[in-house]
Amino acid sequence: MKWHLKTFNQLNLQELYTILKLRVDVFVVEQNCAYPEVDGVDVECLHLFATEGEKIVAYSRLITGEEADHVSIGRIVVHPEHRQKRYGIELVKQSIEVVESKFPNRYQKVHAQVYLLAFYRSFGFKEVTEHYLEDGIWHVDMIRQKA
Amino acid sequence: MENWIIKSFDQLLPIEWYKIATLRSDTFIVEQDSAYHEFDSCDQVSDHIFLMKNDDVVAYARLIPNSYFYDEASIGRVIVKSSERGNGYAKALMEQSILHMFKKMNEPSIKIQAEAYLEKFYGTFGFESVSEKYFDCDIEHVDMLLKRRED
Repeated sequence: MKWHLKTFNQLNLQELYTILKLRVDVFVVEQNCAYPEVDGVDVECLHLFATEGEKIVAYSRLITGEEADHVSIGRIVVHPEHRQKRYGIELVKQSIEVVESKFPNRYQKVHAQVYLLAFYRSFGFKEVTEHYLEDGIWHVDMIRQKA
Repeated sequence: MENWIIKSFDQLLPIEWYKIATLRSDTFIVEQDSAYHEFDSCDQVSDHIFLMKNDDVVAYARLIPNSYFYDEASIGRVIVKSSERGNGYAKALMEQSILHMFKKMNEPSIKIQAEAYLEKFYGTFGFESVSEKYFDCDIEHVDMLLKRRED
């Protein structure tokens, strides 16, 4: 498994295509949620992904420009054919490490799907909102400060 | 005269693909409320026609060579951005697409999976219905065929 961190402009066409397809296949189709998956925000994001051979097996995007005090980690996804291999854990760890090394003065934020509450807690994320429905899926905002 | 751009997948700039992908997602997933596989294996083999206006993709279709979607070539994902409808772009998009497929891609016929409410619209370009109406992803469709006139 090889990790890559790229700005939008550093992504080549095939990488961008594969990332968007993975996101739509998981967040739209698998989660049965017809929402604006390709939302225009990507141009301003850092894109973190793991490859095995030519395949992208895990992905997240880091929204760095929205607010100055934190970085949002979003679209956290492991390819359906590569689940149950703890790639999700590695992905969140890598995402946190990137933020801590590139933005040492910012905390990390996730708009977590509620069923993953315990998963994100295990990395030190804490809930900062009530549970709320977004696009028909229960969410909770969580933040993580450096220990 | 509008500036229509036609590119193979490999010729697309990443930012062009991103704008196309955004328009397709906004239209077929969000507007039509359909949680389906918007990006599929036809994208890489197709030509992509689009119209840029103020740095934005406002009309688009993908032109699929024969033997991928149907035995015949096909035009799919036909879109005019919601804010740009009523300007005649759909007609120009279809005319440009048909011309390109018959002349440049040298396809003898084009078959489309039309949304049923657009049967009359596609009929104005010479497409004829070749199936009963049927539901796909909860949307009523009809297959339509257009043959190149050898003249």
